Amino acid sequence: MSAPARKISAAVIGCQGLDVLHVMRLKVASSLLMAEYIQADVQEWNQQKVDLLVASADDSRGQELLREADRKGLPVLAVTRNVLSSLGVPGVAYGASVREIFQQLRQLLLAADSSGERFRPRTLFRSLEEARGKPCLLHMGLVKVVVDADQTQVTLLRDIPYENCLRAAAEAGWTLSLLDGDTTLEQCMSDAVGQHPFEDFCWRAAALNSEPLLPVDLQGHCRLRGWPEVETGKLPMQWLLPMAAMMIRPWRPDELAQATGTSLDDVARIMGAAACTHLLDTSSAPVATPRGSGNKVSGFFSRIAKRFGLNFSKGLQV
Amino acid sequence: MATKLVFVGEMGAGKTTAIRSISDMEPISTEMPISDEAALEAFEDKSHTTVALDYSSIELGDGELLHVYGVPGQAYLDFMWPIVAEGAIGVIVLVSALNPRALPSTLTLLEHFRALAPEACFAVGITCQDREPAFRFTDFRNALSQAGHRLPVMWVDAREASQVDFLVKALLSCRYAEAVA
Repeated sequence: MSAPARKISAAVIGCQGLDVLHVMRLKVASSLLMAEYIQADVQEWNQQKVDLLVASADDSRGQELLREADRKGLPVLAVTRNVLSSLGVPGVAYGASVREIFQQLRQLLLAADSSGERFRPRTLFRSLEEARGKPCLLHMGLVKVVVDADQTQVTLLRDIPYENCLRAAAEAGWTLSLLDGDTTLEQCMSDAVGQHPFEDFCWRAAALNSEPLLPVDLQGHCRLRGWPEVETGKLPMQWLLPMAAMMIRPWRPDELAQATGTSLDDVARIMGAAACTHLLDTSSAPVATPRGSGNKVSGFFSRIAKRFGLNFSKGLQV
Repeated sequence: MATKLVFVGEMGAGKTTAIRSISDMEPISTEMPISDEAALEAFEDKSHTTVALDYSSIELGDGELLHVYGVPGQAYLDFMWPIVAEGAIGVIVLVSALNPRALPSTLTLLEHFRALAPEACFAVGITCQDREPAFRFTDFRNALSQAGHRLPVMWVDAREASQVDFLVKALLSCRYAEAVA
């Protein structure tokens, strides 16, 4: 029997005020974290959300920065020529080896992730949560897109097949930059090679990837606010019935899976896509399941469904 | 017993084409040359339009037929609506993205046909996406939801059998879910 595959989680490590030597050592040390199934991305820190901050503590500004981050509960690592114990935060001496830095990073990240939930894979969709609807540029490797959720558009900036972008969207390692001014957005748009509805992007990514785009509350009830804008025929056929049921009333994921004969994984992917596109209504009160109401579908209807390639025999036998 | 599938929509929405896409037989239509100059300009690739009904059928096996109707959405033909709506298992409203009155027209048709066929299930197909890329799908869908029409809404190229087929699948899924959920 093979052991279950361990998922690779992702962490963003911010660095501030380090010289080239220490940035290089930090990057090498971070890459070694893959041994702990952590894919770490080292970024110059500009106040963005990070999982760990590594900063020089050789001046008062750096020291204050580290103390403030530490007070806020962010794991920090100081690099300093001064006496480490005087800082009051974890640190390594200036000139520390890759091994020393790696051991500190490992210890700090694992301690902060005792639940195993903190460093979830940094997919495009998780990164988007930080943008809060503002236009942003996202890139991972060769894939580069502008997402303007308010304008309901996703713009591809590299000539890569759409399907490849959809598959990449659920992988870890995305970097996000907010596009604050119109000029920046316009500059990006000048490289546009294709544009797709945001809902199409999310739902088709959900259909292509095995994990839900966003986590789903398995105990909550939710329904669909509306049918998503997805290129016709690109949604999996087995999603139609659970989606139709969610248009009618709120469901708990396990109830919906059971009632529609759909796997819980599929239901979670539907709900994750709906959450991503703001089509998930979690405010609706649960509705009592009409047990024993009987199946009012005629044999004639079943034959029509069959003619169109649908088989509802497993679905909604409540 | 519900044995009809109805397509309804204004001129140029693609009813005849959609029915042709999924039927087992060539639809029987009453087509006439378009006489209205403005309409001729608006529908540049269309010289004829259906003035009465489209009718076709889909075989289910053992001689059973699903009757498929296309009904013009123009108000002056509304005397035909109750006749066709009676016994409809589902009603698909087709609307062209080129129609400047797409939303009010769809709302009117949904309201009328919901009253005429309360047992039927509904879906909306928006056609001519390629000719009106600026059409705001989400605004349109959200407006329908706000008006109480929570139903499948999707782009559909009426010339593509697979797309019309998918729209019908979504409609049937809703019908099934409504019947038993």
